Amino acid sequence: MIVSLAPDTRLYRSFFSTRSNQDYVRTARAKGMSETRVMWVHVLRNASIPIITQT
Amino acid sequence: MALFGEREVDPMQDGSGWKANTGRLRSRHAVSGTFGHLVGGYGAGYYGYMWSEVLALDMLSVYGKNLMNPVAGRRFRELILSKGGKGPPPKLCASFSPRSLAKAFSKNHRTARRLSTRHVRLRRPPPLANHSDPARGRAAAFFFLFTWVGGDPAYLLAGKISNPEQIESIRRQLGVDRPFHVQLWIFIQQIATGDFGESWSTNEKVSAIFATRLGPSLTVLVPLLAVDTLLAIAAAMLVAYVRGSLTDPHGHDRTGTSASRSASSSTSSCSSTCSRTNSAGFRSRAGGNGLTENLLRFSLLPIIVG
Repeated sequence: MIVSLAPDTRLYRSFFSTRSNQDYVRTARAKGMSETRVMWVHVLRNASIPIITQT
Repeated sequence: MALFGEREVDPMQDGSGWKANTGRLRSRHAVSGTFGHLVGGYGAGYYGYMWSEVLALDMLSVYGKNLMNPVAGRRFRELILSKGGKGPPPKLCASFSPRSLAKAFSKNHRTARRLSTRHVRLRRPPPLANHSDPARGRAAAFFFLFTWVGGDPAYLLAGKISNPEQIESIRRQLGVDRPFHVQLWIFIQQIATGDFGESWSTNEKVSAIFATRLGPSLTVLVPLLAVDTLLAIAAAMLVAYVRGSLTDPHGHDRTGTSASRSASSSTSSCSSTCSRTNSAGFRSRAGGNGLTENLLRFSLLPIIVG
């Protein structure tokens, strides 16, 4: 289970990190949003698209 | 004769034919083709079997039609049997039947294949029509893989009591003696209608077997997939969030800008020092200082986790 989780995690991590470098994330941070909200709303929502496709 | 139940049953007996007898099969054996004879080193040995059959048939051809041929029998006795292991076998065989072995192979291998009870079909599939539909191409590939590798189902079903007439009869009843394109068309029809006929070993309908197994399989697999994905998302988010720290060795292979940017957002400001500690951290995580440390410290993790 843990072993089978690892490749998925590695892939999703790269989805998250590409999303978190996008301009809209920087804009959200610049608006003064909390880091948690940026992560859960802007990053997670956009990263879920390739995750769902891949699953 | 485990295949035919508690008592030995000749599938061809009492005139009822093979099909009537399959109803009495008690076996739970799954009759299936395997790769066992083709991969794993046995292939060379199998080639040896074929050669010995070719040699035997070649020597048999000296006798002509008459197996009791006294001239050939005397020669066999003098040139082969009396010599025993005194000479190299190819030489002994050649002295008995002077035909070249390559010729013998090309002439006899068809007969050898027909006579062999361990018959493996290595027939080249007929050229496919130029299908544009990939699903149909996949079905065709699947079909040919099974007919090619699986061997002749008649031999598997007949078991040890095979003789050529029985084999032919079983082949006729299964329909495997029909041309390949006819069989392929039947296979495609079966896929389209979902009706795969009946199992050889249990006489159950194959579609019913699928239907009863599908539910339990899905009840295990679907939640597992969901849990797996959710856990992976959580772990990935965590790792992406603390990116640039030591928990994320992959982050360091990027250029320093992206790593330090996310690091500066989560921690306080550090621009040039961060990348330096990052590269140092990367080096320390790539392995130990020597074999002992690698062995005792880093190789344990996959063992524990796996």
